[in-house]
This record gives sequence, C-alpha cells and structure tokens, in this order.
Amino acid sequence: MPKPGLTSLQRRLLQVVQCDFPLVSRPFQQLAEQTGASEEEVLTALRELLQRGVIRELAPIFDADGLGYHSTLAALCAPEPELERAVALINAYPEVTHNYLRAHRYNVWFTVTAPSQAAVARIIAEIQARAGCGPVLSLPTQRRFKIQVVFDFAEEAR
Amino acid sequence: MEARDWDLLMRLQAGLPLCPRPYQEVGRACGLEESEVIARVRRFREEGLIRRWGARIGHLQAGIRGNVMVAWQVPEHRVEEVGSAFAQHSAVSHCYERQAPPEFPFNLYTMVHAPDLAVAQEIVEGLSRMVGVSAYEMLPTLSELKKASPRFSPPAGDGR
Repeated sequence: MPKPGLTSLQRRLLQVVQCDFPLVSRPFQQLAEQTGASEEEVLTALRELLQRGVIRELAPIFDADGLGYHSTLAALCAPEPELERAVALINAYPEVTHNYLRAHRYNVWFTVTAPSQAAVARIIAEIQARAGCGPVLSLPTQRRFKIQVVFDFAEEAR
Repeated sequence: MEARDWDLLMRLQAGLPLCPRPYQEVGRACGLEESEVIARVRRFREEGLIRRWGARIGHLQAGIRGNVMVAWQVPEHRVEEVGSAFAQHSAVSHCYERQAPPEFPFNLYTMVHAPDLAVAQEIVEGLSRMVGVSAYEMLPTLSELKKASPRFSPPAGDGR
C-alpha cells in the first residue's frame, strides 16, 4: 500500500504491533529482536508513527459488553445544509466515540457506547430530536465474526 | 472486576508509555509490580475483556484510501456461513451481524480496506460472487468526523 515515507522498519513494526503486542518486561526489546533493530530504534520509530497518527495509540481494545457497557452503530441522513450542525451536536456527546461521513443517503454513521441500554436509547432519541434529520437508525451488534484490523503493511516492504 | 483492575484498565486506556519498561511504569502509577501488571493484562485477554492488545492504526494517515463499509442483506439461515467466509478475507477488517431496522434491512456489515476505492470496489464484487449474495450497498468512507477511544470507568459513577 502506497504510504509516503514509511521506513521498512516502521512497516515491519506496524505489521507486528497491530494485534500482538508483547506482554514481557521489555516489549520494545522483543520487537527489536523480531525486526532486526535496536530497542532505541524501535522506540524512535514508534514515537514517530504515533506523532504522525499512523498509530493512533498503543492501547488495548476493551470489550464494552464485558465491562458492562452497551453500544450501537447509528446512522442518519443529513442533507448538506444541515450536515455541519448535525455533526457538531452528535460529536459533542462523549458517548459518541467514532463518527464517519459516508457516500450514501445515510451519510453520517456513529457509534454510541454507554453504561446501560437505556442510556444508549436516550442518546439516540435525543440526537434524533435535536438533529431534525428524520429517524436515526440504530443497529446494535448481534454477533462479531471479525474485529482484527490487520493491514498488510509487510507487502509494501517487499 | 476489583478496584485494582479498574485502576489498571483506566491507565492502559491512556496508552502504553514509550519507554523500555512500560509495564513497570504503568504499575508504578497504580501500585502494582511490573509482573503483576503483565499477569493482569494477560488475564484480561484470556477472559476476553481485552479483545485486542496492540496498536490502533489511523487508516488515512497510513495511506489506506479505499475504505468502504458494506451493508449486506443475508438470509437468516446463511448469516453464519457468509459471516465466517467474509472474516477469512484479508481485506476485511471488521465483520458484524447487526439487528436490521425496517428502514434499512441489511443485517451483515463488513469494513473493506484497499489502497484506493477502485480496488476496494473490486474486492467487494469478489466477496459478493464468492458467497452468492447480490443484495448489498457500499458506503465508502469520505472522512472521519470523530475518532476517540471509548473511555470506560467503574460502574460506581453517576449511572450515565
């Protein structure tokens, strides 16, 4: 995949740290051994990837359900003149963690995560009332088949 | 989960520090030995409280420009088979079955990532042929309006 300015060490690192970050005393030393670099080089490379936003954060993805939280994926149709206002009011909710603009009649897609089903429903209802863009769809997850974001960065390194 | 676990979880949410012994650093902040931090994180993983332990990638920043959500209409009795087949594909990062509202009767959702949109589209057409499901809609990502990590806190809060 064409990415301006990723070093081959950075690509190799991205491949490994996406889903299998080492659980050992010196994880960056282990990554260094895996990628043929020094611990210091690995730390520097990761620091730069974080700075550039290629890596968002080096943090676990928690299972919201397992922690007693509830979530849903929601969508609405916001016509161009309404879009900016609708997005601002949606994003102002701390319970909204992701929001994407999509090329579709349902153009605004966001996730709501809250400690109870009632809280999720209340936020959806509030957004529907305040946005004034018609019904807000709510599509809670029934089953997960895959949640592993694995892009083939190594391919580019060849 | 005990209070210590929540404490550790809240620290981990902030991201692992980039220093030679990050688990020691995290442990220092919440009164745990390095080995205990590692053991607890391992336990969170085993119990499924941590679904993935690694870096979150910024797609656009990583040069991945063809990002498409695909909403599929799959007959109930085929969801298991089709969902499992999609999950095998390397361009598919997420595959979820969702409760479909009447206004939008699509029950299976995948995220497909490719260097650009044309390639992503070809992959989606390939997926459609592979499982023989032709009722689908593509929803390409135009931009990211918000992307934060959910911040979890102990249930003792104000109930919100």
